[in-house]
Amino acid sequence: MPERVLNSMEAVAALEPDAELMLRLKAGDADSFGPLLARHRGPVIHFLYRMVQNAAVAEELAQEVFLRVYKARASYVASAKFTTWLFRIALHLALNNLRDGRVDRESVSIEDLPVADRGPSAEQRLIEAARLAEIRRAIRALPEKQRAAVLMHKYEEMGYAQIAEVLGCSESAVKSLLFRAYEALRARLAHMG
Amino acid sequence: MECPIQARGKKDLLLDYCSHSLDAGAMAEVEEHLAACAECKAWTTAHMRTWSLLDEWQAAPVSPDFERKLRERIALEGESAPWWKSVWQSFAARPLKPALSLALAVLLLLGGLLLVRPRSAPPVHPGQETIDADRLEKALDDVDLLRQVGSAGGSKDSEAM
Repeated sequence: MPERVLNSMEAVAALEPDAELMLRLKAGDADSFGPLLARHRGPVIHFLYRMVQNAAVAEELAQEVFLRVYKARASYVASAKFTTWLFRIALHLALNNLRDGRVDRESVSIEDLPVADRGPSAEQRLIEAARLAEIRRAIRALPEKQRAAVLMHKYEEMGYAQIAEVLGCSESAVKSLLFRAYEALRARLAHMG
Repeated sequence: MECPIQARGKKDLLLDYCSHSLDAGAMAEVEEHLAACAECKAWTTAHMRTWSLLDEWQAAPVSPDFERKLRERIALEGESAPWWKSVWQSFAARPLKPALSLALAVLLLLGGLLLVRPRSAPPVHPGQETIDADRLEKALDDVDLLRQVGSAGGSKDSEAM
């Protein structure tokens, strides 16, 4: 096998698995899309759900995210981390949706809470629903960028550098955003103890 | 250790401590500082409380037909995509280097041909055409004169012999 071909194969193998799957998809291997979807649909849907606070809209937006990924396969270049690219698309769609103001926020009801692992009484479950509603309201009250930064940091466990890449700002700006966001959340949720 | 709250740009150390993303050595260092610094201790305790409140918000599970719906959309997009798009995608999916080199080679060849092609004759002006005809006529006259002189000389020579 020519040395050049061997080198390119080594380079692909050294890439992160997601980028490798995307490159295979680009080369025409449609089966590579399945593992990518299986690995990332959960985090993407959860991120979108917490951003727009509506499960149906979050799934619709997530469909659009993966559709865009699939359609962009031909022009894909493994220059950035795959998840960074994915979350950049997701954030862009979420912000557009929020700015359109078309999303009806879901209210938390007792039915939203799992029955088995919660207190048996209706009163207890009402308290839980009220707590959850407060948390969601506190996050919703954050400015868009702060909200996105907190969701990626807290729930998706992303590092400062990756969050910075998704948001298109510096690492120090991300740290500052996170600090202000957590301070605001702490102030809003202080009474919940 | 410098106090993370007092020192500029060090607050992320406390954030990292709360999210357990520091290595063991750094964790121990922060813990040592927290034991001595009331301000940092209070901040960390409050942040941990907020952090655990946020943990209460679990995202809804993903719909079981999410993938099916997505694959349907992908299939639909594929069907409704214009023909030129699919041609372009199949072209773009292949490495472009050979095609680019070929195109460059063709361009170079065409350029070379243009450079070495003989230049076309300059336009002929009417005056220039007249001068050439005159010269030609004069040259023909000269040839006739020489022929006459030659034939006259030849007959003299034959007479002398």
